[in-house]
Amino acid sequence: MNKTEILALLQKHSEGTLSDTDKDKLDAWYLHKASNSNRQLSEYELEDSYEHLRSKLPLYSEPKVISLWPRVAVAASIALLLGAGLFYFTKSKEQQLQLPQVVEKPQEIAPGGNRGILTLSNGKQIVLSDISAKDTIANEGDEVTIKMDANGVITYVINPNADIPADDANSFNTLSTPTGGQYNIVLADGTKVYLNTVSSIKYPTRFNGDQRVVELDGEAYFEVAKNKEKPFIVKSENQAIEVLGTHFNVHAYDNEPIVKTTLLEGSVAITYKNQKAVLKPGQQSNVSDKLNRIAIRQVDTEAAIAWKNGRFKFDNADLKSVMKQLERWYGIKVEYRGDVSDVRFNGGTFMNKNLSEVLKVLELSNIKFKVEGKTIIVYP
Amino acid sequence: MTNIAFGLSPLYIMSVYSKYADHILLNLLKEDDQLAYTEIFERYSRILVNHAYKMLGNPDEANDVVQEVFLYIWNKRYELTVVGSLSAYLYKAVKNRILNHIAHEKVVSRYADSISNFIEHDYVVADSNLREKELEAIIEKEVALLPAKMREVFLLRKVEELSYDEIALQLNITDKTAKQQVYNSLKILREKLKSLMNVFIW
Repeated sequence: MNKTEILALLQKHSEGTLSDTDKDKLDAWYLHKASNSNRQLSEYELEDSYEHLRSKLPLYSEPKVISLWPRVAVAASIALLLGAGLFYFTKSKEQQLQLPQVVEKPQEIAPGGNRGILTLSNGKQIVLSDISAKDTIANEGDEVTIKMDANGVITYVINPNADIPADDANSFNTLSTPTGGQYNIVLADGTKVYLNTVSSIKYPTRFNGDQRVVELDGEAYFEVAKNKEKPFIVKSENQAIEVLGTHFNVHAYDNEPIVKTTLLEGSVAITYKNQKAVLKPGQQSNVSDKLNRIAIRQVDTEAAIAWKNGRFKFDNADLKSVMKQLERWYGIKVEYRGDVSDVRFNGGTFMNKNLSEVLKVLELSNIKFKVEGKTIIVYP
Repeated sequence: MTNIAFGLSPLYIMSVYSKYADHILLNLLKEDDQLAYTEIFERYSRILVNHAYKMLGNPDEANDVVQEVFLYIWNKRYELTVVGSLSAYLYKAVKNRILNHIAHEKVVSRYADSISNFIEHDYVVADSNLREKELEAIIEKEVALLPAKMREVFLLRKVEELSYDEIALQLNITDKTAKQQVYNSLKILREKLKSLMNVFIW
């Protein structure tokens, strides 16, 4: 085959008009060439190209820090902008002649919903929103059946006829939610767990032994089934909560400094390092390494668990925590310009609204937002 | 005067996504999840660039091809149909773009001899199943050739999508032993990864 024939072959491939036989020849050559090539980019070159691609693609990235300029710099920059503005003005006139004006419509950012990912003890992962048959979705051995009810809630049913292996170690499942996802689950002991967005909970498929231990990363509301013989323990990054049967909310995001536990009913004991504190209904404990102790205060419990009822509710909430909720629920990124540190929010709205409607409500508190793609810019 | 950006730490969110199997990420991507897209990029950009470089011999051209593929999957995220594994899909997307790139007067000379020699002397007919397997073998080999640190990260992310039974099968051990061993080694890898991430990913 000469060069012209090869070129014709390749062009047919690009057009998609190549015969199956010829396509296989080209594929075979490609695979042959790839497996016999000794070329290899160095670690340095790979990093270079990684950085290059990062800058070119619409990836999620760290929020930028934009600080206020000192007055002198502002004055200088205004002068600079004036110059640039003149240049831009003349330049843009020229461009308008050549290019059709493209006006990009701001896209609505939709709220999250019922989305969760279940990891079975054998490591398999299931997207729960994909399941249409609302019944048995998996089995854990002979002993446990995982079911989904009509509302999409996951429940663990223990088979009464199965042998209970006395010394058998627990096998664990993990329920996790991506950005914009929430999910509800009923554990093997009947405890109800409402998992908030970007969170995960690891729990045994059945509770063997003399304690019921689960591990939480993120936020969840628990309605623990009563069992005085087997205390229920929620472990997070740096604290443990021990309960017998009660309703409470745990807010323990890795990237937020304070772990908050809010009690609605019954009583819970919080352990942090070697300290222990007991909460009464209506109280919230705050634990952080900066504080290095357990602080307890009275709070509006409605605000703490509003997320589980599909609401945003703010009780003198600071901007930072409000925007973090929005970031997780709408999968957005937030940038701050100017000093907005003393803005506080009261009131609320519904989580099933588009982001723009929620921002309108927040703007009542003397703050402004600008939406650029999936980035929200906050300024005073 | 001072101002603090208190955004959601990407390291935290990405650590949640790094635990998701490829098919889960694909699913989330179709629902407009930019973090899932970013995680796919984190997993695959390096091996794809390296692969494109093997074929093209020019880092800039390799970058362009991989950039096109990733832009395509973002722009078409709502209607992507992936049959088979995500890794095979991405390799094939890169392959098609490379063949398109070669199909130009100026570029084809670099490859014409190699193609005609192969087709005339070495080509053996095979079915598509075998070609799939050849592709999988290439992917495996190319992962093995990544610099050690990058390979570890890649494997950690891939391993999480295999079930314990599959790992047990590959390692020829029983399921129960596999669980414990995999759990232990993932724990070690994760710890390593934590410090690594700070050094070269973020």
